[in-house]
Amino acid sequence: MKFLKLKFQRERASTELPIPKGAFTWLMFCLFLSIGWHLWHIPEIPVWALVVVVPMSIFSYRRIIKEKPLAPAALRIGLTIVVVVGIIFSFNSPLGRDPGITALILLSSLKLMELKTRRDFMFIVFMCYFIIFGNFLYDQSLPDLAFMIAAVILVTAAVLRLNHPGHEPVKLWFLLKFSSRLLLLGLPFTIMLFLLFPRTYGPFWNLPQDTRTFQGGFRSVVRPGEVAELAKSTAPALKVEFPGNNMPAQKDLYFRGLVLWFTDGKAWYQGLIPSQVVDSRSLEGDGILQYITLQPHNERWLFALDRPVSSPRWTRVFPGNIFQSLWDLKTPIRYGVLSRPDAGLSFLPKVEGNWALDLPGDLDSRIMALGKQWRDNASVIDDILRQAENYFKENGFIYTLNPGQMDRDNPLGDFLFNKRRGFCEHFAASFALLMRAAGVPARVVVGYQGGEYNPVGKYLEVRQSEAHAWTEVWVKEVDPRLAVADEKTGWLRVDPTAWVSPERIAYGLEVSQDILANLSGADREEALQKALGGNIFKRAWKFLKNHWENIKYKWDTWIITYDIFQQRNFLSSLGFGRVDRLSLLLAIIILAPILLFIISLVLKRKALSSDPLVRLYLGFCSKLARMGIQRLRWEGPVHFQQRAVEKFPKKAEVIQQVTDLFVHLRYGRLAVTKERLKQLKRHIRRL
Amino acid sequence: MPSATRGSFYKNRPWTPQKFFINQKFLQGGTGGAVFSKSAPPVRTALTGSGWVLTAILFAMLLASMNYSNNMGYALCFLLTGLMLVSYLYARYNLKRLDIANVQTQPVFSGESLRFTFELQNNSSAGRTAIYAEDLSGPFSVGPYSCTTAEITVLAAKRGRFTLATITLWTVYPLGLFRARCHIRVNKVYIVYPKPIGTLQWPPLENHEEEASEGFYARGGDDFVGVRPWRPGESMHHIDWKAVARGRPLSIKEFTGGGTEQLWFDWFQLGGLEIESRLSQLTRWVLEAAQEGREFGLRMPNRAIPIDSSPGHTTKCLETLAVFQVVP
Repeated sequence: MKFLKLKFQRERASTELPIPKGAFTWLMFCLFLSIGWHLWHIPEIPVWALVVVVPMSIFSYRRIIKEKPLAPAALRIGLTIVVVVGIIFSFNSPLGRDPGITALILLSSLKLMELKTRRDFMFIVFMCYFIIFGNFLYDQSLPDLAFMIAAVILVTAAVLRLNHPGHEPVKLWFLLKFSSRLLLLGLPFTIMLFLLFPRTYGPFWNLPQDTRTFQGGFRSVVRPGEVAELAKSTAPALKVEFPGNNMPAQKDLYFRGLVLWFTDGKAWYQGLIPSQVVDSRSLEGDGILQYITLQPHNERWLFALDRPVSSPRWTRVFPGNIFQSLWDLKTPIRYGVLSRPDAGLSFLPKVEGNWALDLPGDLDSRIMALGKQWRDNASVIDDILRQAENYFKENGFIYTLNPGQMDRDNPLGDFLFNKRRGFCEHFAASFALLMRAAGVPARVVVGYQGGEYNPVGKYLEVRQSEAHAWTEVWVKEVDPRLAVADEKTGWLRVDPTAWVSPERIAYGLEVSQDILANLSGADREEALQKALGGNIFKRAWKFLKNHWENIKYKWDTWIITYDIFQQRNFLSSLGFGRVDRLSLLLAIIILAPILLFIISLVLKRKALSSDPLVRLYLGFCSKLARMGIQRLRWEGPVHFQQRAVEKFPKKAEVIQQVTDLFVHLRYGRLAVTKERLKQLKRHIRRL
Repeated sequence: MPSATRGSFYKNRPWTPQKFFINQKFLQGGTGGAVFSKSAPPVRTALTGSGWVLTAILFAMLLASMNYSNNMGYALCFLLTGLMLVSYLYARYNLKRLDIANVQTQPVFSGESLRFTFELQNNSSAGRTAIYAEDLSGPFSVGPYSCTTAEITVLAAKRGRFTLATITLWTVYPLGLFRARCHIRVNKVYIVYPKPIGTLQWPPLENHEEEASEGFYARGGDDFVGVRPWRPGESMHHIDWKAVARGRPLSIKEFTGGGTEQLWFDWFQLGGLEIESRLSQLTRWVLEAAQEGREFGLRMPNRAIPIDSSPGHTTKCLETLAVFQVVP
């Protein structure tokens, strides 16, 4: 007990050492830096929080520097209450990512107000580390990594400044070098733990606020105009690698994500539908194999080329050839999937048939009439499709990102018969309604169409601007009066957008935007060529962009999506076969002391080389020691020189030269330069 | 037993890899004290309060990374783990090959602070930074192959003769996450005198005809004998200050006593007091007598120190009082 008491006393004593003022300034800088990076997350983190932090921190900083007493307790408690209330007002719940990070940022500057001991100082330092950590809950790109490394070096330098003895100013460069060296020495550990720490499946728990969308993406409800909003973003959505080198042509790059069965005449819904028995988990067999790196969208759906036949183990399969993750996707994920364009059911289950023919009760009568009219004029399903195609082509429909506001109660009727300007979801949704009115089962599919091939990384990059909606119709006998063309059976993809704007499907949104739908005939052809070409700057820019995108892609696939599956692949590529979590932990426990030992050897080697001048002089001393005269520990260079000269009168000149130069460089006004060090070295060599 | 021999051999001469890489002769500093002849004291390392807090924070980071499958989160968490482990190595390394020599101290009275000054020697080619000794003396920094003077203060609670077996050196450098400690053996003997308290008057002078001193140095009486030059080391009490004021050199006024009246501080005169109070009273008397430059003797149950008034005499008396023990 006595020992314990003593220990605690010592602990307290060491925390009561004064804090050097330089350390405060440095800490403030680090705090602002780590909070500042969160400016990128402004919509999620309220602006007021980031603004309030600045005056609060500066206020406490000035008090500390001027050695004024701590801010009064009433003020501190009052501000804490204000902050907590503010957070609860801004977010409905105090739990979750955004409120958590906001609270951390605000409380760190509040903690600054009561900074007194070293323990408080260290507490703020740890808060800085956690604020840096919080950044990764939003984004894990390469610049974030660079920021993280820089910020950790700076924050660690603040701790070094705190622990460095004396109050004399310490060279900033020394602190930065030292903290970088500490991190560098720990790097083998970091890499070992990163590679071997057993990864887990999905989250353990979900916090309420986390269900807000991360970076945009589809909703399970598609209202007219929503896909157009999404398509205005150029954020990356997914990147696809085709290991079989069998990437389909641009016009066949349909990545399906969601199948919408239900509509109320305004919006389309996925609805609550049961999952299916899984056919296959294997990636082997005929078809197009893809490795898809998907950016997080905070929902569960996954994308695959039309139509996937096998899916990863951590997914569920739903009617309509789609599959979904078991958990909300909050971080990038990489998965393999096998697709076959001709896959699909050869029969239509009755329940799905009912879903696919369901019409809202208050449907616009004009839509009903048009559908009926097509149906009455047709003898085969192809006739209905042909009539629809003609309708869309000949009635002056325009494909545009900015279709304008439709009638709120009857958007699709308004689109079909009045405005006639729309984005893909208008075409898909209205076409599906017309088909259902004509008695043909139809469903809306949402996903991405197209993409840009990166020749550097040999992968396809799909952006949010490639978001697309299309339709699938059932072309097999549903009605005995309609004959079926032989070669087409099952669910057939029909993309009404392609009728109106073939360029969108063939060349992507960017090109079709350039030529805009107003042009026609020759003008249109000319504009297309112009849009596809581009001058040298454009091509150079593209070259650079491709390389940078490729680096980002490799970063995503190797580092960010390193999960349990990739970990297993990595270990089996090292020849370890299937390794379970326990043996991974065991490997860490065995490797850790080995690494620690190796690092300690490096540390000792490094310690030998501190100041080059001192090192040279010590080398000189050891040379003399070998000759038979030992410098005493308390002996200064001059006294040692006197003794050495007495012992080796023949060498007197050299010994004096070395000592003189050393003394002048070390204690005199002579600046230490490379030339002078070389000169010293030459003298020593002459000994 | 061969195994025991081998064990003790390793204990005395720990194997270190540097032995093979570093010039032995060079390492053995000028004191002639071979660096490796003394067994290196073991360095013990423990997490500090901050270290525990960081551990908790790293654990929280790990949980959050697992929950969100956040690989960059893992990366930061493991980067800081690596940092922590390296700071552990640094803290340990910072105490390696430090030695303590020339421990000096002055006797004090019980209840006062005891100061030890010593030389902190660094026998390595790397500088040592922010070393603390015992509770909170420091920080000391020692350059490569050099030494610095350090000091620790210990509260002397009890009288007696003690041995300071070890001095604890510790450091939290560089990050304050780990505290490395080692106890360096010094075996310094020091003495704490009893606390000089007590309100009793001096005992009456004793008459010893046969011991009447007639020598020149027999000072402390009432009869003025003459003046002689002052010698360094002598008490300042009998300096003829009036003469000094007149510009004369320092001189001593000599007195001679009645020759037969002697001052004896006797253990048995203080029968009514407890042991420690008696010692304290005697200490006070000794100090008072020494201050007035009187001749006195000390009589203890186990020994008697004859009448004298030299500074050495006072020290001898005080030491006797400090180490006195009643044998039951």
